[in-house]
Amino acid sequence: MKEIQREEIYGYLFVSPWLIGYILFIAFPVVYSLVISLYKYTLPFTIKFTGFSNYKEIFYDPLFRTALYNTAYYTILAVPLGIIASIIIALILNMKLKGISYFRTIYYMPAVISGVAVSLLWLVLLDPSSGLINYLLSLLHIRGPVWLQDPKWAKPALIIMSLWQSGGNMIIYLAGLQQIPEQLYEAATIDGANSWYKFWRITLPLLTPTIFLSLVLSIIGSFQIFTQAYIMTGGGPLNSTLFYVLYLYQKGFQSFEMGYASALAWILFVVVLVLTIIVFKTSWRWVYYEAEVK
Amino acid sequence: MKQKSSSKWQGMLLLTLKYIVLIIGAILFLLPFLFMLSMSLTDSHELFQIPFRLIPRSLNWLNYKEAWTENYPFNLFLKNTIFVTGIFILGQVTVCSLVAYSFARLRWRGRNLLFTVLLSTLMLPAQVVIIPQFIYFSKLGWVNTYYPLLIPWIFGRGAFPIFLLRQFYMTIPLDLDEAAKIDGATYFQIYYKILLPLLKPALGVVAINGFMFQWNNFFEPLIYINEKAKFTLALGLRMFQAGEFGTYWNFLMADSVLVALPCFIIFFLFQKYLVQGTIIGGGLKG
Amino acid sequence: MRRFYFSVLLISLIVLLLTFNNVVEAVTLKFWTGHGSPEMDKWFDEVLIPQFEKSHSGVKVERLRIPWGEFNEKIMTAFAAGTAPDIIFSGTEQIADEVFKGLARPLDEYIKKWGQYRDFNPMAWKHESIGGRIYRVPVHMSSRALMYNKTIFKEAGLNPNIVPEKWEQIAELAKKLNLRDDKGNLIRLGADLWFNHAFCQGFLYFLYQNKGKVIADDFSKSLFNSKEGIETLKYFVELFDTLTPPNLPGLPTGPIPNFAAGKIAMAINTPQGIFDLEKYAPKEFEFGIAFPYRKARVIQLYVNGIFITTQSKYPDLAWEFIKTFVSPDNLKAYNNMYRTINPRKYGKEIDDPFITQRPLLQAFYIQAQKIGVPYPIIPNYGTLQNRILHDNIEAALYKKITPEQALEDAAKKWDDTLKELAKEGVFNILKAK
Repeated sequence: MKEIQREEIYGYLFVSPWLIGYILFIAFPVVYSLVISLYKYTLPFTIKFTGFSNYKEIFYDPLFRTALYNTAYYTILAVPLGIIASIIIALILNMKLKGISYFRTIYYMPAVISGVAVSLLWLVLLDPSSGLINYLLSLLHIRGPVWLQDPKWAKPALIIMSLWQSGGNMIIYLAGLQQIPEQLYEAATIDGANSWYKFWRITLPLLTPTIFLSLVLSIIGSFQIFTQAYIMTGGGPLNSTLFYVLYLYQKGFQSFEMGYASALAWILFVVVLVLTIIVFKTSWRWVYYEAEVK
Repeated sequence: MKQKSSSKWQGMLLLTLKYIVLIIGAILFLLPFLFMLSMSLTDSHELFQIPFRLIPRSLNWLNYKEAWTENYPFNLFLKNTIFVTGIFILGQVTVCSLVAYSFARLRWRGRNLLFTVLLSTLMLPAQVVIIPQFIYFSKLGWVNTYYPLLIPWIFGRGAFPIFLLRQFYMTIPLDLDEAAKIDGATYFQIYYKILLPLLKPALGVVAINGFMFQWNNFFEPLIYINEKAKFTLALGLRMFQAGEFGTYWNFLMADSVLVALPCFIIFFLFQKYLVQGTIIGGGLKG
Repeated sequence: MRRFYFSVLLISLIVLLLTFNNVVEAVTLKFWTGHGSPEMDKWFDEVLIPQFEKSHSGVKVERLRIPWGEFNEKIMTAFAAGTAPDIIFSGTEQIADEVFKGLARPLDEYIKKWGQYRDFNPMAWKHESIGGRIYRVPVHMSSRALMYNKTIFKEAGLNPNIVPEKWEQIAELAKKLNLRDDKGNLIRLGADLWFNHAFCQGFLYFLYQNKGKVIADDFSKSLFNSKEGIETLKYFVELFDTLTPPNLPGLPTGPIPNFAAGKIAMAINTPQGIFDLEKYAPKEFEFGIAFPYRKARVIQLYVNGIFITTQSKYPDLAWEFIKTFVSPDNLKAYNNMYRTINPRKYGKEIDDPFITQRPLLQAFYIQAQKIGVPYPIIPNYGTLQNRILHDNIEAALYKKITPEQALEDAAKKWDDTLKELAKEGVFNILKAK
């Protein structure tokens, strides 16, 4: 057997665990989910082909629009604010001070706990009368809102919670910042540039690849927000925190309308895909690549 | 050249300012944790006092004992979570490193295409596959077992670890492979004896990320695990919160602290690896 | 030598397999319950189950408690996967789904042979039957009443002998009894009318007092969009306004329930809530109980029952377990422990000192027998009650729509859903006999 053939065989062999898994757990389910979305599938009781009626129903469903709106609202605010916060934190933590690594740990720590634990913690923090947040606000003589009980403030509360964890992304921005060659800054200083100029003309442009990656992943992640809403608000009040995946979960695993839920999942997929493509297509305008693709 | 003495004072002022900003920010970020800790040590009768107190009147360290064993079987949940997380990490580390080796070092037709396919799965919302997976796992009888939490992630959904590891492989010079081949090593031996040891930092990152993910995983256990005896820590916390006879928030906070503690410890011990891994994984080096 | 070890291994393997087989031979009844508390779990595990296992050798009972938040999902998932338990002890609202989705077996045959049908409150059987067939055996009944703290009434300068039975009284007192500190923080809530949890149940509670109806007997349409319904919702909105911002009491303040601790003056409470009062309320507190009414004097009976699943392989054994559970002594012990209303009849006088020593509980028993009616049976209650009705009532409470609009819209959605369910054949069980 020729060497090349041997290599190929081993190549396929070693990649097979992933490939088989991909076919079984991704490719096939994706197609199956599209098929199910064309059925009225209420496990295990009704299985009836209904064509696009699920999609039509979704179009007229006010809760669908609410869920989409809530998720978009959250994403549009949480993602950019999160990126800005992460960059600022990374800048602060990039300073060469003694003991900076301890501070890095502290700023990163909020991102370490997640899921149920952090939701419970913030549930207590946001209590209108006895929570930490409103207490801090009262020190500034501001009367804090009722947060999770007010339809207007429930989503902002969750956004603040996510900002608290923005230290998590700080690492990739730190890495990005440390990749920027010192000579660029030195050259700029020699040319008489101030810090502001250095930031806008050197730091930020060279960070754009990192921002780009972070933006795409954040949008995808943000659209899938679930645990906080499930644990803290159950979707209320007045469905103001009924996020898309929570609604999907309710339809799929509480009412067991699996066909409908699959249709919802596909619409989510398309929305996220379109957004990702948009970000990709517009990236040439603002992402700066040092070396062109060979 | 500037005058040395005035710039020295300017430097000191700037330095102090920098530290002040750093410290204020650190305090703001830490306050919630302090509150969490303080609530966990509060006596049941003092919870939710108005006016607000940051530090409770008495530090009830006994809360931790009561919260962990007497109210709900968190030891059992801990055992379950360690089991699931451990197998998850082991599975991902072994399988993904092998798959990444194939992508990084071996040449075969369709390799680049399949790698693009792999990358595309990073953008797939999990919800698209969750419902079909749930349906056929129910038919297979895998509901109320840990299989759905492990098998899909180890085989097929480990796109991020595979990607990361492949990046890491590409920083290792090919000469090592060549030398080993000349010595008569098989492909597997090259992977196992030569490359894998060099991959340790990256494997560390995969392990840590896997740990954080599976330790805190809530959605999948929520769907698949029915029996209290099989609950993970996340489900245990949730069950406690949804409890019927009043909610002992001090115990709940104590439990949350204990559940979060391993994450802190692991992060603290291995943060160097995380940074390294991010640099290489982000394609920022090499 | 090697052969010796090998044969030892082989023999021990065979022995193991045989013994393993034996263990598997014993019958295990899987018993899932949505109800539970530390005391109840203990009673199940230490009293009921050992009692049953002793009298039925070779049978083991495996108990599992499922939190209410995930109850429906877990049950449905189990049925879908074919791993449903043998016996389920569930709550009031689930009855319609359990019958219409084919989860519960009809029990008429067993009950006929049993002969204890007449010993139970007929209203309880009414709730557990659909289409003339009985599907569950009642285990405990809960209800709702307005409990009030007479001590706080005195403190606030009110006559402690007022019984807040009329709707106008309740609203007025609720407003008067709100207490704030100098910073404006609410330190005592006048009335907890369940606005931050099942306020659908709250609406239905008042609806019945106003002689309103919920759903037609043949489940063909909704009936709450009536004059009575609108009056009720208007009143409900008025009650919500008495809370004034911050609208709702925040998190439960610690393990001592607010009402027991005196942080709430009046509260819609259940008989089980009496347990908290006994455990946590300071001795000085004196509590009263009122059964509000407007056009009708009724109280709703939340009947909780136990049933055999259609997937059970051991229905006869399951029935044996149910019989043991609801035997007179066991049912009495269980209901007393939980402070719920025993569905078995108890004649004109209540001779159980446990109950007569607890005036609040006794009041429930007396009213349950006199004016109890079953809680409405609502199919697909998850969608109809907890989604459609809930969202519409919430919108009316937050003044986004008028009560008339809320009920009209909800009624239309209910009727559409009910029609669809009828078309799918969900209600065919009613016609079959």
